[in-house]
Amino acid sequence: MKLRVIEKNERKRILDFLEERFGLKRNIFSNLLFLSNPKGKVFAVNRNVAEFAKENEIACLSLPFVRMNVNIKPTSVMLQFFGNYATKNVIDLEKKEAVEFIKGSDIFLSSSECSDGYVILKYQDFVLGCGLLKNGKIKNMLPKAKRMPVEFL
Amino acid sequence: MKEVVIPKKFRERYNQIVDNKKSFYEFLSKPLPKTFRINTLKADKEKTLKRLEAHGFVLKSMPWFDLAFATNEERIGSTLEHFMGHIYIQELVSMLPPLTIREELEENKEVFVLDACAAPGSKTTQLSAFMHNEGLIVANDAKFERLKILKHNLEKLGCMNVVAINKDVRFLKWCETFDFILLDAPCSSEGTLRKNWNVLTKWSEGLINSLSYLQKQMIVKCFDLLKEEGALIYSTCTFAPEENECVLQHLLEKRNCKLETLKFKGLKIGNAIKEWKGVKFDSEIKKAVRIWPHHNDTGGFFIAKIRKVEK
Repeated sequence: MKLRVIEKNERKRILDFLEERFGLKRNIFSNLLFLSNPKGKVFAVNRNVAEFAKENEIACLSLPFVRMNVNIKPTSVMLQFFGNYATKNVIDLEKKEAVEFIKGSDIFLSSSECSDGYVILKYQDFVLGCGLLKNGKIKNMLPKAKRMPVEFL
Repeated sequence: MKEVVIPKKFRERYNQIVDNKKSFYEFLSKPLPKTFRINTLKADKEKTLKRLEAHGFVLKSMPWFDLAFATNEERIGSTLEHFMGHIYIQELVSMLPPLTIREELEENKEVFVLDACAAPGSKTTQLSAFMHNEGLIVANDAKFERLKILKHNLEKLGCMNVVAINKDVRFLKWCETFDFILLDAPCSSEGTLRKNWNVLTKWSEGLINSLSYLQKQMIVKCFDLLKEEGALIYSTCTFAPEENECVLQHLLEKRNCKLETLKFKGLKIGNAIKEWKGVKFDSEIKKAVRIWPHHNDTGGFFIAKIRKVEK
């Protein structure tokens, strides 16, 4: 996997988006470096990982942070880690909805104060992942491999 | 209880070294208890336990590891905690190798660690949690198809100090690079019989001997990748002396090293054997430990901690 440390302006673009969309302050990410692959997938890593990746051929790494092409798409994995710091565009799900979301279903809202775009789905204190809200429908953005039936919530 | 036919040769081999034959074979036929580890990269221990207990789960703590638990509930994999990566379902003995370097990792997180045979990532993610996402873990696996599950677990558990590489560890080009190396070597997996009886369909002394040959190459290479004063943890999930004590004997003959005594509070441990098939082992090898299934109701395991000493 070919990786590069992203440019300053790209880092700014990502952090601006997260602050603007979710109210995630940039200082939360101050210790992290961002590496990008040629497809625009950006990973959050520590300094040691970034240095190692510069000089060595690597097969894969974690944590997938955002996908950056024309738009920026946050990953569910990243939101599970940092989403509890968000102050806006967070949707609290009922138990039944949370079960459906984790299973991979889309969610339909009757009303919401969130604007259309990416939203954080929460159940109690748990950030479940990312959804895409449009006209009252939340498209499930959980990767297929991470979806599962949950009996105990 | 499942009726299992254990090959005569298998019995002949291990009747010589096991302390209680009846109990050993009885436990081999029993299913393993459901066990898990709390992932402190993402979860608060007390909150997690409280929630699981509120679901009616009976949890049993382990005196030798504050984050390890057994449960009566088969469906632990259907919990929100499992989905979130707050817990990781892991066999108890598999938690032991990272524990042997826990204190050293927690004291100095800025270290370089190699997990030589990492997939599916149980031990890698445990190391990552001990290091609080600092330092560097190079997680290697020679099989490309096994990297997918490794990647899945790294993401799910929130590891940000790990890179995965896909190499045959015997041919890695670095030299004296790592402070700690975990070599959980590919083995005949006899110690996993309680969860997978198919192990016996492939079992033969020929397989054991060919794996022993591979393990000897791997352990010497891993030792050479260690910095001076670094530690190599060698482990397998097999009872076969050819894959355990004989591999350590090979390393002691080839390189300058010392073994360290291992202790796990409240866990009954078996001694490494002193000789096998007429070959007497170096006295250092007595510091390695055998975990027998009937001693603690676990799978079978072998662990040694080897320190690289001054040339």
